[in-house]
Amino acid sequence: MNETTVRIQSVRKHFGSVQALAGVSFEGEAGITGLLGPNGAGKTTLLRMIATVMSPDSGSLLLLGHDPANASSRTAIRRSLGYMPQEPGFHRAFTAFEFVDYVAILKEMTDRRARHAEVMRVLDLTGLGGRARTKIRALSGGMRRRLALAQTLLGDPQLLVLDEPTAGLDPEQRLRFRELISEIAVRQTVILSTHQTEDVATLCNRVIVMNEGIVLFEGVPRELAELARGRVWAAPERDVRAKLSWRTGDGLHRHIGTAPEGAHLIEPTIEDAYLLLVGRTTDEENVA
Amino acid sequence: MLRLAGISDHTARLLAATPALSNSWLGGIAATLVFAILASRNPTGNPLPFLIVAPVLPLAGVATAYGPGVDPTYEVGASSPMRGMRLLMIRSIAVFATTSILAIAASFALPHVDLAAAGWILPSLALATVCLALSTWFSPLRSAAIVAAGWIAVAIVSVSIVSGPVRVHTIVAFRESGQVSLVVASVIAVFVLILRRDRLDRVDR
Repeated sequence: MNETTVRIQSVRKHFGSVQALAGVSFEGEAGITGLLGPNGAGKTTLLRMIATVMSPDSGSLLLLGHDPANASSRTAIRRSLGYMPQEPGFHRAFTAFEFVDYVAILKEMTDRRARHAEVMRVLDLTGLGGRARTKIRALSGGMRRRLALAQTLLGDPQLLVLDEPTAGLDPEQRLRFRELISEIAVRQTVILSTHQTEDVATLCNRVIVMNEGIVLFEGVPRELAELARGRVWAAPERDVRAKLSWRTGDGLHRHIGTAPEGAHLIEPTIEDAYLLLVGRTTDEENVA
Repeated sequence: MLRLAGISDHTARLLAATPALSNSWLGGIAATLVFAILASRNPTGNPLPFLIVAPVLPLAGVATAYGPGVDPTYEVGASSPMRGMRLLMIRSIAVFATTSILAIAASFALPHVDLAAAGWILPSLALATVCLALSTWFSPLRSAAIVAAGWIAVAIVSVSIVSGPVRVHTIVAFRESGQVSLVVASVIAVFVLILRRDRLDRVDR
């Protein structure tokens, strides 16, 4: 059994009158944990706390055996941490190499030769070795995303915190990302947030579904999909009683919720379970 | 260029990422100083416009040296083991020194170069350190706005209540007692900054 590397207990956070986290608890270990949830669910707030850049109003965190509330413990955590924010910023006049080199200096890598070798290693890992001398302003959005990922890998950190790492990546880049992260996560703890249920299904050992600052589900992806068993149907017509319904490529309507007339049960997916849990029924999200 | 000046390669890289050391920023500072000098070349030879403007420029530079909203890589930096306080100090000292050198050079273009022309130096130090201390509560830009507004308000009130001709010593900050008070304010601000330095590593301020 793996050792617990992330322990979060009853964490709460308010921003003015808005409650971002309302008593979140979970435990993480080596492997990939995916945070799923709609915008405003509290994922970014939680990841910022795990990245030690935000403190909770109440509750406690234990990261790699250290309490981030303590300054020296926080520094110890940061020495073993790689963090990719939701909107990673860049000094655009820098080249890809200079940017990662800058972050390497912030990570206390002062030996120039060793640091430069490490910078090239992570650029190669993310497929940017050939773009090392390219100015960041000349890189595509997907390349910048990979550059943001590259800096998290500096020094082979034990804990990787990635806020929507696959946003803006094309299908091939997303597959390459999965390949890279799955290799890393054999020995490291990766916690990532995503809107892509497919990322969770194909990549994560554990999944946490959040909404409105609370954890709705914690378990393995297969268990999440099982939540929707017996509630996903295929029917020839759309039924207004369905929580969600859309016509699929084969002409049948996929219904989530109550069984419509003439329907038959079909295999549920993580996405079905997610939609049932989060319970969003706005018209814009119904794809007809 | 920084490497040629004898600065280590890693410190040079940290400074190269400082927005307030970019060519466009320094060009803006130089242009503002030119306008302040022109305003001080008035018939009475009163350097007050320059003395009021000069301390605000290092303040603006320090406010844009490091922090949320001014450094695009702030969040990544805050999660790194290098303490925010250290990065802030490296950058602030470099920005303060660079901006001050420009202002000192500009002060030689005043109509009468005397000790009064150096009156902006202590206000400049006090505004910058108070801004840094406040930035442990608020964002750097908001802190700078509060401090700059306070400074300009003091200058306007001092000038508006005087009955005779406006001189340098009309503003309390340029009198001897005022200059001593500014040193005290700087020392207090540095203590506050040291006590609250952990806040510099957090995005929620």
